[in-house]
Amino acid sequence: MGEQQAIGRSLPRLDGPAKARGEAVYAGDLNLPGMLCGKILTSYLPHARIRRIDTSAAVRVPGMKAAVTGQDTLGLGCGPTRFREKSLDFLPLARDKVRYIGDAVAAVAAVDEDAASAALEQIKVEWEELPAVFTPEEAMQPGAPLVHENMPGNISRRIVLEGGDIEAGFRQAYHIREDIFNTSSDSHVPLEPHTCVAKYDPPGYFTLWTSTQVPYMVKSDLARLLGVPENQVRVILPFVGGGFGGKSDGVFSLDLCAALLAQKTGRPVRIAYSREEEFICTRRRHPMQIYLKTGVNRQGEITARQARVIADGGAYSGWGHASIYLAGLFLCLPYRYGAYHYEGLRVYTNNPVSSAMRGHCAPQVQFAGDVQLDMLAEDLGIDPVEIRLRNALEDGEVTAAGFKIGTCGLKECIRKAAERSGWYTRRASLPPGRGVGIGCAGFPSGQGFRLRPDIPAYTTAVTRVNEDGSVTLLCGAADTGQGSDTVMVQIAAQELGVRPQDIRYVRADSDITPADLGNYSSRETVFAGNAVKEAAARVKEKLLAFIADEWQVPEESLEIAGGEITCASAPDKRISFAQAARGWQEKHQGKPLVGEGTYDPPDKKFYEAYSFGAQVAEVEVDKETGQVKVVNVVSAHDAGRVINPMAVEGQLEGSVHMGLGFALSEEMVVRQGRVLNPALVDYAIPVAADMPEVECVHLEVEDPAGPFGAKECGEGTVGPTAPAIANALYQATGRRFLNLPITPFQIVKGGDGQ
Amino acid sequence: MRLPPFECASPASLEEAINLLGQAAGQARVLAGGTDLLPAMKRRGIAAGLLVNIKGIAGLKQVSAREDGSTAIGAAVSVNEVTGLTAWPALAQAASRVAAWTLRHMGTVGGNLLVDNRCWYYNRSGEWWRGKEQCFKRGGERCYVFPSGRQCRAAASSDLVPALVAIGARVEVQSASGSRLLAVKDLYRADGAAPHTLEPGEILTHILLPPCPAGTGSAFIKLARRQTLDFALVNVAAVISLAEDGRTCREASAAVSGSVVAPTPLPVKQLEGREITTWLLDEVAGEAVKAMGFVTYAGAMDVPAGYRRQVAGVLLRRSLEQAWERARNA
Amino acid sequence: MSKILVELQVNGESHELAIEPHRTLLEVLRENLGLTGAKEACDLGECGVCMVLMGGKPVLSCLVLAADAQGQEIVTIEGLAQGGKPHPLQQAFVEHGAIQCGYCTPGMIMTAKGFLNSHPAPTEEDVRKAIGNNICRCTGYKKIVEAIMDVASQNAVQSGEELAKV
Repeated sequence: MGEQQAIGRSLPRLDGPAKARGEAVYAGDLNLPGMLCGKILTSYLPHARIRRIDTSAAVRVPGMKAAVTGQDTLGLGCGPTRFREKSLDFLPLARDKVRYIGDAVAAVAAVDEDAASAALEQIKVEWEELPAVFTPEEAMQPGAPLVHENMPGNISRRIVLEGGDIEAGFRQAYHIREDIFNTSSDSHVPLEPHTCVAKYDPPGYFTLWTSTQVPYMVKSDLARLLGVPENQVRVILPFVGGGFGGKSDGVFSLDLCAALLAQKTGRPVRIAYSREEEFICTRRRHPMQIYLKTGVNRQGEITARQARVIADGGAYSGWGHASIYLAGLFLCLPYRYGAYHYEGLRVYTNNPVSSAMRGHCAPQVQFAGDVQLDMLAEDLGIDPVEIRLRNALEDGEVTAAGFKIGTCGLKECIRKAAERSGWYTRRASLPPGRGVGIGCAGFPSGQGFRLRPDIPAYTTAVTRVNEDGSVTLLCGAADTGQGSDTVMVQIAAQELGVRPQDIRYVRADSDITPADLGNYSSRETVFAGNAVKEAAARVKEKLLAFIADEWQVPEESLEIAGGEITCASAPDKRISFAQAARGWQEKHQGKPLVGEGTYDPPDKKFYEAYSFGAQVAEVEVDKETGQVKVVNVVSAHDAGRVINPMAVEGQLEGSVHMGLGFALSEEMVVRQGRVLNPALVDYAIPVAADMPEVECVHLEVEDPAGPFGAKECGEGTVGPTAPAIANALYQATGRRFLNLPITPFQIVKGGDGQ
Repeated sequence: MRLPPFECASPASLEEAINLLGQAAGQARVLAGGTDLLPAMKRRGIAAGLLVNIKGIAGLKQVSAREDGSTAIGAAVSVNEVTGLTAWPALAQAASRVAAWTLRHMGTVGGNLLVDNRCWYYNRSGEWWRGKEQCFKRGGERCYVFPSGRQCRAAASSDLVPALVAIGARVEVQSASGSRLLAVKDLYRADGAAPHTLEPGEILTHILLPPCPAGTGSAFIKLARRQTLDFALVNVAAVISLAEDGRTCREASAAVSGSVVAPTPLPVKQLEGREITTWLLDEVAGEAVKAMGFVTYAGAMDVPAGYRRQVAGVLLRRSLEQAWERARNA
Repeated sequence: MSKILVELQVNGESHELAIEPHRTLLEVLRENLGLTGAKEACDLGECGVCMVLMGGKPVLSCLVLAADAQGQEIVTIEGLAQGGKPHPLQQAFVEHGAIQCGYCTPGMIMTAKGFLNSHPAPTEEDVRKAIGNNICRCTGYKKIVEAIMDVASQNAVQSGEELAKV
């Protein structure tokens, strides 16, 4: 096989050449005839009632074409977790009230950006300022102002999870620790800010090109918000310049505003968020306070773990109703607990909106869990690697939160990471100011519970074989940069025995591709991949049945590979894939040769497959200035069968980068509801020279749930980086760091305990 | 984010540029690299009706030796060129830590000396400021970072300046009424809203570096979050000249920026006439940073003042040590 | 504000435009000339996605006045390929997996091109610092640096071969 294999190969991504030539078209690159520039007026008050909005002066600005306000909307709320009515609290264009600095209150369309900006300045809003709350503690005080009047106590969602007898678990413990951890307000910062172009065709058809991870959610939500049938909204996915969860909330303000303005003017309207708007008006990672109590027996095995998480949800739900639940679920990865109790509180504040960000709450709780495990190991005099091996989940186990683990390569990851980093040799001989630490994580591949009753499919795909034998793959999955388009093509090519270059991939277009829930929760490889594999298999079946009939041989004797069909029992017979497909079509009156695929996860509550990873980080600390250099990171990852090693490495390296920022430097500083550093020079994403050496170790554990045994990669691996660094800093400084980010100031101050 | 409308002139000679600036009665700004001015204009922090582009003036783009032994760096010389000037290692070090390679190639030396003071409030856009009372630096009457303060505490952010101050460099300034020379440190005042002492109509034309005396070493250290791109949290530069015995300090100087409102010389004269030891450097450095006076954190509000002062002492000690070592090897 | 006439040389073609003095090169490339390879993501010179070459050196086109670009040869990502053949940097970025979402890619490649023009034999650390104004959120930079180093070493081999011929 070798060359004929489409999977397991570092195939360069298919959209690479277009991107390298600068020809890949992102939403902001579209230029439609007559297109107008839209801009949004956002609230500068954290909490206020809107008494009146006067756009009369704005309309007189030269070049200005139209303005819209909340009065032009149906006043409906929306959100990604459609299954919970209470979570549909986000009005993309506010009507009566604003709840954070950044809430959209009006939008204009004008002939160019200058005119649109001038018009915005002429819009007069009469406010009634309301008292605001900026921390969960303030928000939960009795009598605190309510962000949403129907949500008493500003509790967005409270959730309790229980697994086993927690009291008994603590009674069995030989040693118990209680610690409080805090994580920061982290921002996704995709290089491409949210951008969309909306077009309106009378009598009522909308087309939207938008930089999103979830085109079908956008379609469904936009139709609902506009009050039109879904078939009157078409969402087309252009190339998307990164998402990381920040483009997974469905409709954002710009989408609705552009659609309304296009309808009002009859001309296409483009709205692109500025970098400031991207920081302030989109979403962020939930900042969390995590109280964690853990009991261990003499061997260091966790007998009980109890957590109380308070998350600053900001002004709206976003994914929050899922987030606060997931924090509780993901804390049970990747270790085994004798008993578990979790209480999660997501609290509304008048801060920017918290939602899903790469790892979706796992990085926060796994940071706490893994650092505390390190502290427990030390208390007991057990090596940090050893205590992880003793607690690591294994194949087929059920976690304290109920996840049924299929394959689990965690122990092997831990061993490999320790081995490759020289854990047992190097660690003991490091000079002062140096340290090595380990962190572990686990993450699911695509969620099984139905968040969106409005969208019938999880994920679907269609393969169509064309007259010349080339294949068109129609799939609604959304590649926002991670490389899923290429992986889908590799999977289809493998199944069909053709070359990847013989397959043309059609990106999500709701009028053309079949439905898909989108790119979040690490769904694509397992969910879309399985659907694509099935769609390809259906074509293969039809072809093989046809050839078996033609050759009068049993179907089982046929093989399809290397672009041709051969027969084990008749070695002289062979036909090319293209000829076979042509033959099939001629026999069927030219009917299209089509295969359909879907993926309907068997476990409707949780997940099918879980990835695992361990990272060892080595740090060098300047104790006097507190500056940290992460020298290297070894990342061992069980992503199941690796479809594209180069793409997986890219994901792992990128996740180390994001984990590094989360650990050491990234924080949106929010004071009184106002983001003070919404700029790339003030919000410190690591630059190239800040990156450590990263060594990736792939552990190929085939998981039966995934296509060809594949699992997710690159989302779960954000998790181990921060605890690995924090644990390494402990060795380097003798101090524990329980609050993220661990800034030089924190280090000079001496951390949060010994 | 778009620029506001303005006129632009590209004079071919310095005289012409001075004329244009003189006529504009304070409504004009000098444009060189544009890496600091244009973002400020986009954010509506700075307004100007006329930009006088000096990049076409050949005389400002040269590094030349003057008769008195000094080196004259034209204001429009790129920061990257300065990384290659080896006479004063502190200056080359400072230049190599300015922003990032691409920005250093666009940005000029004059622009870096006159880089605007920074503040997390001031450095936001007009949209961000909508509905908010303006701060001192935006023409208003209050400070959000230090609410009780009576003036702007935005941070002096040039990387080159501490090195130039420690070296004892001067600048040449020209206007319709002639030219004047002033010490680099006198180019600044401790008011973040109006941090430079240039008069309207004046243009900074050259930076004059004294020759590096025998037995002299210099060093610069920048503390920032990231290896590239960032403005400094603290910058420190130091110069030490040794007497002929190779042990006694003949002359010493140092300066700081980043956490101060105006780049500040640090008092290290106590070293002079004494035999240098690491212990002595440590002691002098610890004392000297008290001269920073008010320590501001307006440019990166999550890094507190106490930490900055403490680290300034560390950086000063280290830059003195490095300068000392270079002096011994000079 | 009255418009001024500007003649720009972009990717070997001459364009005469009437523009306002405050228009940036990035705006003119994207809006007047339809060259959308240079991206817009911060507009303040902090991210590097708008990098183009001006006189062989990389500039942040969001901070260059279009009028100032007059008389200088401008090359954008669209002008890098020669005769339908991708530039070695474009090829290397594709083959090394240095591209994910692709939004930083044009700026990254143009910075690399400008850097290699003046630094034909850089170290890896030199490269990391040279792209210090180009933010990438996807890759962790590793494969980007590898791609640039690969081209640098190809150049070294080539210039070595040329030397050998002499």
